Amino acid sequence: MQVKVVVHATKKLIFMKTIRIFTHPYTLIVSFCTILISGEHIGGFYFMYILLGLTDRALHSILAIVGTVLIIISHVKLQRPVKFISNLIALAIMILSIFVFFYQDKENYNIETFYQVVPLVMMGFFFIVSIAFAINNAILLFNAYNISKNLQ
Amino acid sequence: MTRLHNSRFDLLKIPFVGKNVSNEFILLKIDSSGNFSKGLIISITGKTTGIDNRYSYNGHINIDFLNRVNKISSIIVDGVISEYHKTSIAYRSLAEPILPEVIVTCYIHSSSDFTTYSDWINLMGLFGNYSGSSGYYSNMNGSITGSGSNNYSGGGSSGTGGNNSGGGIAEDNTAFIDFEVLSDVAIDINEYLKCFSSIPNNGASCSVEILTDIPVDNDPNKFFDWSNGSPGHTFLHLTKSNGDKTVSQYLGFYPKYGWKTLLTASTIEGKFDDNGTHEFNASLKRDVKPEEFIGIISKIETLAKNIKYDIDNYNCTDFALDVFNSIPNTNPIAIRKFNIPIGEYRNKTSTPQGVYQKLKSMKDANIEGLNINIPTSKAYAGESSGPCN
Repeated sequence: MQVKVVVHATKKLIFMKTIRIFTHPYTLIVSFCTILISGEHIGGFYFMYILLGLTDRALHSILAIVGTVLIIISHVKLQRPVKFISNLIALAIMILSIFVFFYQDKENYNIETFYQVVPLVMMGFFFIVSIAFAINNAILLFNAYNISKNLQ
Repeated sequence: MTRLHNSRFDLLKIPFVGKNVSNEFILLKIDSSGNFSKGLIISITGKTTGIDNRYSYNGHINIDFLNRVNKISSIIVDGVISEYHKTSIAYRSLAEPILPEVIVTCYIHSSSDFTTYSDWINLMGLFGNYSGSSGYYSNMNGSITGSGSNNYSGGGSSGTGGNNSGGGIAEDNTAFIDFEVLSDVAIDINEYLKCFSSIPNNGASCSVEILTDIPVDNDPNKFFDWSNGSPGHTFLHLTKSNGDKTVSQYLGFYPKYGWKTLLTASTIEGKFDDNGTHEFNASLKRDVKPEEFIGIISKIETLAKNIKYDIDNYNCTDFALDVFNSIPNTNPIAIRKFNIPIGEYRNKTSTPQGVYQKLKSMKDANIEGLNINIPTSKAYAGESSGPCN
């Protein structure tokens, strides 16, 4: 009986740690920057495209930088519940950055990103992390709201 | 008569007495001089069925030569002549999008929300020359632009006999349909080059053209289109013609997997793509003798066997220049190389900008000025003839 409880507790601990890693802001940032873009002639991590676009003040680069900086500020400086709201806004901005990057690619130069396995897997990983991050922050925001309501 | 836009020939459908032209007709290919060059007897039966607003044509087609010797007898599955496409789902594959070369069904939704459809046929596809991802289609019922009915009996548009109430040969409505290719599909370059051997060398006119597409049209000094990371492209146009026969191929060299180019400093697997209708900003065309053209083809075939892609050292521009500069008895094009942000410092890189700047300076100095085309903003290449089996 005691062994069962220990095993269960260990499993729960591992599960919680995994969730914590997946929903960590830095995991989100890393998965965002390591999205793999596959163009006709060149390709690479999205991080490179963000930096290249900054020299020309490309919109997708600006959005990416704003979103990333906001996530970091939220994590380091802000307190709940503002922190959770800020996280969700920053995530939306980051996803918007990716959308703008592909939307403004009128000639579909980077369309192979969605047809080749490795880039698709990296993109999928970012979206899984995004969903986990969004759900986690939404739950925490909801809990914070309930707590503040009970205190009133 | 089906007139294909920008084509050197027309297609004439002649109905049989007492038979519906949409099911049985003689198809003749007429060249620009009015001579018949090819003819087939077509017999096609089938029906269009629709499920969930998706319509498809299934049936059977019999194609005979004019001497009644059978060329092809094939089932039609979802608009595709199966015998012409051994891989049954090839036309559906995103990796090789090919329109049904026989039938395409169109949907017409009228203002009263009433759905109609009509069947269209790629007549050139009946000769076995499918256009791949695009082609000209004519209405199977033989819709005409002039007066007269849609159903032909006898030799004309009304009643029997050879009279045509429109006065002369009635012209079909044609529709150009192309499949929007979402990704650049690798081609078998040997199948593209094979087409040139179908044209006799005696009296042939051949040319090789190098075309360059800079990433930012109004700024040839920019290495990249920063919004999508495109560095531009350089590709080749090979043409061989003899009489009314012409083969024209646009070929470009790419990495097989774009995402690998910046993750590794070593060479990676390359591929060739059909660059028909690709944008370009400058080009230089040189006429070559047929025997020299054979040498160019051999050069490409040799390169294709072992070629590897390297963004710094052997990219699309290097390939195009390698082939173009192998034209005998001509001045090789030497371009300025640049250090690119993603390249190795010691090896400057050939870029589409380098080709553009070279062609611009040649044009300004009137060196081969007549052979150099620099559009005001940009232009688009023509269509490739496609692969030959």
